[in-house]
Amino acid sequence: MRVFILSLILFFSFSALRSQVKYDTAYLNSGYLHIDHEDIPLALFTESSRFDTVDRVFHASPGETLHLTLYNLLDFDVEVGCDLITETVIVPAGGNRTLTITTQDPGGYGVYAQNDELKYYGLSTVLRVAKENQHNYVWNLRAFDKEANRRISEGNTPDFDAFTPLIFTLNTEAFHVNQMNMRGMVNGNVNDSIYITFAGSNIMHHAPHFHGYHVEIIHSNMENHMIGWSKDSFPLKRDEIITVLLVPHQPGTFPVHDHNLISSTTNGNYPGGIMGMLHIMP
Amino acid sequence: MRLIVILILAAFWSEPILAQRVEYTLNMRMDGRHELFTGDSTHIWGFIEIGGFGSEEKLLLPSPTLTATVGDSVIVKVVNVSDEGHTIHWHGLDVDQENDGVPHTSDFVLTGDTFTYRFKATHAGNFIYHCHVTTTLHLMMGMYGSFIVYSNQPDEIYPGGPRFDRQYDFLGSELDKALNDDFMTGGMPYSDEKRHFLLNGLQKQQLYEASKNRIELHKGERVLLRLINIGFDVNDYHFPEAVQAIVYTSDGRPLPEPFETVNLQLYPGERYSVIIETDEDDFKGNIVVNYLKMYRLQYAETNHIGINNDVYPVYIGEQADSRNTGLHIFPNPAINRITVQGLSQDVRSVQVFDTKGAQYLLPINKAGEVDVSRLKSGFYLMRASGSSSLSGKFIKR
Repeated sequence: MRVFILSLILFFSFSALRSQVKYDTAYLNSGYLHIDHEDIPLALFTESSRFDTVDRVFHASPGETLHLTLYNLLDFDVEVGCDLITETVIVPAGGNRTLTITTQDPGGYGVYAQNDELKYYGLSTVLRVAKENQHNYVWNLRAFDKEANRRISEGNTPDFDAFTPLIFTLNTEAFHVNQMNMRGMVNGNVNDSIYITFAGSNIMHHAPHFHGYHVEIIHSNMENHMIGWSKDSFPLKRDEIITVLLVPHQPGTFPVHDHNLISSTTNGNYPGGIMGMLHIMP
Repeated sequence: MRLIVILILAAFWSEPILAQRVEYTLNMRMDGRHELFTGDSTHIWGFIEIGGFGSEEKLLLPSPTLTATVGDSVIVKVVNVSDEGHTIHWHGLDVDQENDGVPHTSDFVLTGDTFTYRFKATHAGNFIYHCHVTTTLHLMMGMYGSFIVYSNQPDEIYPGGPRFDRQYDFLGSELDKALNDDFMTGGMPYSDEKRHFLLNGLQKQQLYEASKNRIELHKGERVLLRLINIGFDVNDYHFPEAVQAIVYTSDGRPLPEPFETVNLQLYPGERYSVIIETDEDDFKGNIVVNYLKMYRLQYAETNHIGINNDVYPVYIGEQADSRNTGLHIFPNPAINRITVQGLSQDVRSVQVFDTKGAQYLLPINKAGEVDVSRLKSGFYLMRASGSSSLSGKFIKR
């Protein structure tokens, strides 16, 4: 009987330990973003070895340890790190390395190339630490200067002093009124708890604005004095990742957009660029 | 029993009695002119209140401030007498979808049409109304104004909140003269070169000299500043040392913990309520408002708001177009040391002025470096010693 009880304890302990470890993979990949009849070169963390423009977002539960294996399909080495750990890994061209990340509190954390140019070029994504049964959305905001991307793709140094972004994306896609950004849609019901994580992924600062609702700022990967504030417009600084809680008090379809309104354009056309939509049912 | 019935009826009736109906009728127009601080004027669009005080003819920048009291039902009828479609978005008021003013989700007021917006002012605070059609363009052309929701008690920020003696509103925005002169050929507002950085539609000495924008603050008084940013850049407020500034609300909501600050940054779309006080008798000074670009927070321009002060502080060799100053100062803001480019090799010192006009003479080495470590934190003007034409600005952290 004693052996049986001991076995049960061991079994449950082992199961508990197993549930706190997670394995995931991603590819460091390059390709083109096709926006407004233009092809803009960039590099992203992708789900498979075949390039697509969907950012690979990583998920873990609070307290879980994530073993993230990165395969580098680029023709140069890339050093990758994460906000939650001080160690980085250098992923050799054509090779792979595993980044081990022990998660702590819920929130959004950056996973990104340590080189600023590559981070700007697209190698910057989010590890979302949250309970699995929540409404969780991640919106990655970027501003691209076509000339800077072209120079990086050719192995040259971009001139960031002359930075003039004309392409603004939310999850690597620009809003268009006739073809809304399906990667920037939030669906929910009145009184749901909806968590949206905003990432200011390259070198611009942003100012997301919610129509129809105020949200509570609940987490930032940086020191942020606005935690706990109720806001409809808030700063999202360069490299900052902010998680907000939306509890809708009314139904409706409302936009969420950058109120630096230049970022709500694509090549000068409004509405475009950084704009998502909320679809809240009664 | 009769008393209970009366009390119940009073409870039911009190809210409708306290909550009023506020009505406005606004025309949407595209035929205004606005005078800039340079003496030039440019083309503006905007909203004009029909039947409102002093608003019968001329479009103003910004459009008139609309007000309500918390709990009020607000009804705004708009008449589009312009050649293009417009809307009004009630920024921060959390209205329903029908009244949200976004063309692709709400209604669109075409030329000659009317529309009536209806919503409830649920929270006291500072809000914005603006056109949401081709918003970058229509905002730059001037289609915006402040919407203030007062508390039930006229001298408190929000119901049960801190009290104040006097209040001022400051609405930050921008204007691109090339675009406003000719919106068809002026391009989109990406260039910083021709931008004008405005507070309440005014800039520099034009702002400073308008008496309604000059703050009156006496020892023992509490003055409420309603700070609002509808522009594309960061409004970076620096309060004088002798002024205690406490931030109480943001975006129409009380903060969990009010905080004291010497510096407050408003990103596009943000609003704050700040109460300022001073312990000094006969205090005179300025609030410095810098405009910072959203890329790297680069400094773009400065405006000043006078407190008990009618002497514009920065006409020390400053040219009408302050961007043409000749000196490149970096890093900016700086902590201990700055480097100045654009000076000839024989310059051995620079003059530095703080916002009260106090002057410092600082040595500059051959590499163009100036030690600013002994200066207090704040905004400074620099002039090359012996030169009246070369000047620049920097912030000491």
